[in-house]
Amino acid sequence: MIGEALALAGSVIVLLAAIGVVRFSDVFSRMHALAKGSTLGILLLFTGAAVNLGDIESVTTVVLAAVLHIVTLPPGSNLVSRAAHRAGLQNGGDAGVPGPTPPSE
Amino acid sequence: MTVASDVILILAACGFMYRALRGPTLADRTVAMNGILLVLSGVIATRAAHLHTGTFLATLVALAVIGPIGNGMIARYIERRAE
Repeated sequence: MIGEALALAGSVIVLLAAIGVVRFSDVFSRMHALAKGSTLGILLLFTGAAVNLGDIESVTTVVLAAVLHIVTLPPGSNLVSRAAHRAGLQNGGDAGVPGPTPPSE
Repeated sequence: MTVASDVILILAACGFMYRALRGPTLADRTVAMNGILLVLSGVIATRAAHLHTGTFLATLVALAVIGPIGNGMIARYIERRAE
């Protein structure tokens, strides 16, 4: 019961991240919605699965997957947003991110 | 109840797919594909909890490893194309 409630809460948070990705107007805003929302949502989903399954083998596998998600999701989003910022893809959005500074001689 | 969370996750996947098809830039499509990968691992977790088997859970570790590698490669491609 507790695990199913946690999984439901996580899926609702992932749905909120998807709504943010659809509705926001900028690459950086979409990245913001996806990285934060889906990290929390996927952690809740994994916790729900671990509580539901219960045996030690499944719990250790799920904990490993959760730790890998925590470690790899924010740097991946940072890489893509840095590349988008350097490529100048931020035109016309609401995020208010200034353009890339010209290289100083 | 796990069926309800699966339906919600499929709705989220539809949103990400809309952004992947529509997204004006390559970075938007990368964000959307990242989200679809997350939804996939969430569905695997809920299915494993529903079926009470831990057989598929190694897939979660593999997805968590290979997803950001592709992310970083696409980011490097965007950055190099801009120069």
